[in-house]
Amino acid sequence: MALFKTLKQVKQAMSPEAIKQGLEASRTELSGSSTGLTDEQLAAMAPEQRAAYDAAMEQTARGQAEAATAHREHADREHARRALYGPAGDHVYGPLPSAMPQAVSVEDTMAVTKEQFKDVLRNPFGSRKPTPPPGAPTGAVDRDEQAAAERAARTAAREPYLAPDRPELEFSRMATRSKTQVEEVAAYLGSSGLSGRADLVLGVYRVPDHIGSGVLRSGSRVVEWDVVHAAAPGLPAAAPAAAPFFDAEERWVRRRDGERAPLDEDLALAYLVRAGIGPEQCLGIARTLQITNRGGGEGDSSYTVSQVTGVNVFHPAALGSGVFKHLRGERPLSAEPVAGVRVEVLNWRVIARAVHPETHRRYVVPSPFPYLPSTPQELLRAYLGIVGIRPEDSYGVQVTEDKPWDIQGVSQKGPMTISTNRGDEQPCADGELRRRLTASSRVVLVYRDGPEYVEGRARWSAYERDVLQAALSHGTNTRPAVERPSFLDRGVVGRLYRGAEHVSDFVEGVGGTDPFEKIPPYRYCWPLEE
Amino acid sequence: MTGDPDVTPIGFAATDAPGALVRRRRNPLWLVLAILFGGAGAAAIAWFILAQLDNAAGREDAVANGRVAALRGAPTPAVRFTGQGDYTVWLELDGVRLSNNRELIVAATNCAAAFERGGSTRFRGARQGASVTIGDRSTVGTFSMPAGAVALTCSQQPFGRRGRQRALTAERTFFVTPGDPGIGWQPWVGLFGGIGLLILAAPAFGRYRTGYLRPR
Repeated sequence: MALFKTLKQVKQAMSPEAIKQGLEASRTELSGSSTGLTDEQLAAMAPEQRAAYDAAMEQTARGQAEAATAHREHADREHARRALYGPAGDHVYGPLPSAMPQAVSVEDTMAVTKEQFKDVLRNPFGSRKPTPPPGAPTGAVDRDEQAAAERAARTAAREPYLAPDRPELEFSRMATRSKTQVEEVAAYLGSSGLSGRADLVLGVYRVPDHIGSGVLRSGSRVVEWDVVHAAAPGLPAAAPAAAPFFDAEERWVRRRDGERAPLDEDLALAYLVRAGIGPEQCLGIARTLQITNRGGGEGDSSYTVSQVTGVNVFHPAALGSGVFKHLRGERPLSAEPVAGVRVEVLNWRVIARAVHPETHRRYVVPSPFPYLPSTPQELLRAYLGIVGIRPEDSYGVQVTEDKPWDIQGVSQKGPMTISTNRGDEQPCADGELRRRLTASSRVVLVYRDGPEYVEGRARWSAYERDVLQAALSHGTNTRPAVERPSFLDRGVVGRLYRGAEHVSDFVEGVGGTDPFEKIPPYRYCWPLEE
Repeated sequence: MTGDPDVTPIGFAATDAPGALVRRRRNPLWLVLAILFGGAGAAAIAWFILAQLDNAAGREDAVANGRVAALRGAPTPAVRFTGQGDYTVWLELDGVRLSNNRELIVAATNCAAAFERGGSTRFRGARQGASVTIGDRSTVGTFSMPAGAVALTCSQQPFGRRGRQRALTAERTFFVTPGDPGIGWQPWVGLFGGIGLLILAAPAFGRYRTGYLRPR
């Protein structure tokens, strides 16, 4: 008889109505909209059953609250980590988690899973091309016309935020030869008269692109420099500028474990302050870049490594006599940030990932995110125009690099990832077409702060938030806390350990040269003070 | 081509602009050196190649022709000829396009020479030091024979991975030329010296192009 009873119960449970009722109940529970048992059901419970039920409900509520807090913290962290939001942020980082945990139904989960499955089928190898923005041309377009139209729209969007009394700026781009580049820039600053009118110059910097191909032409390679100024033509010529150089591999600055690493600009400012050179006398602070092809032997990967090797400080030659020598004698210095001087570091790299993802090609036209600037110079010009920085307050502005990285162009062709150090031909400052790898990571501005710039930065924040949908100071890792190397990387033990690693690699036939291995982790302060 | 509207190109302004304070001086000595290095390097390499071509016996100099037996195939008839001194066996590889297969076929070829006056010698492509290749011909090896007649047979023997041995299953033709394909040490010095000079020519030209800055 018991068997018949069980079979009857099974039949009732498997009836379509019962299955439907069960599924509904599951959905209600998963969506979080369940209100628990009814009052009648609760009243029918024995006291001990009721106590157990209440305890279980309380535990569930605690768990839900903890999950909501964890979700909010994750969302906050993600928000603070990102430098881009909106469509470009979603493209670069993936969708931003919602600030509040949402009730998720089975249908929602199924819809997300279905979409993810479709995405995998559409794109099995993981390369993601951004979806063109609404209204973007779909067919072939004239690159120049399209780029000009997008730029005009960005200029119009910037207009309401611009400082009322901003100066007219000129970016003069000059070609130099790698070996003589600093002397050439110094000479140009003299011949153009800018060296005699430093109050009209905002900065000079080496354009961080790698121009030309071939490995044997390091000295004669064309290197471009930009001079950002507000001068009209026809200044009387002056003496060439001075440009003392601070080598990043020398220990200029004293830092202990856990202290903040110095910025290149901090050291340059320490020099300028000691020399009594104000922003109206400073021509520029320029990080020195070295771009080299490395590796590429049989079975070895090749790299085109861009790294900061130091900083040049450009100023009229008559100033700062003997100060460099004195500072060298006083090393290591403290080089703390200077009060009253603002050092702004903007994350260009993240924008480049959205609008110029392949360094061996030109930026994408039509732009997948036309509200973002196409070049770091456009971003620099936007900041200068909105904050309204005057040349006499500027120590230096630059488009530059930070951490060493491999600037080779990477393309995804189906299952293949293609890496190349041969860029497309693009016009150089002398009018010649040369192959170019376009690189840069940061836009750095150093200026004397003032109340009008506080207002200007408020405008910039609004522009960043409303137009760029960005927080470009995020992800720049400015002045990170320095860390001592581990026990295995220090002293005799470190040397022995590295030697053993090399022997092991050699025996196993693996390894190759890691171009980043010998680059010190911090500039100007390595090795750290004990 | 889209230029960057944010920047104004001004060329090599430091050295070429009308009011430039400095000018780039280029020492013609570096250009002369670059040309000399480049020319001498190219000439030395060309000399090496010509020496090889001159020394290599042509097809028309062959004193005997034969066939190399295929791997696991029927033996081919021995080639007989009369002479004295050094002789080189050349394998004809026309129709074999992949360089890997060419090297495999040369390495797998084994030859045996039996002399009329007694004695014999064996040699194989895999043990000849350096194989000389001219066009579609590669050497299998060189042997010395006493005056008189010789009977020479060649066959392909298993060599390398089994999966690649399909290339050895066809008969090949060979011929024998008098002399040794080797050249003296001087052309080799020319080859390596020439490569070194070509490498030096590049930085010399770079040095010329870079020049140095001088006040106007």
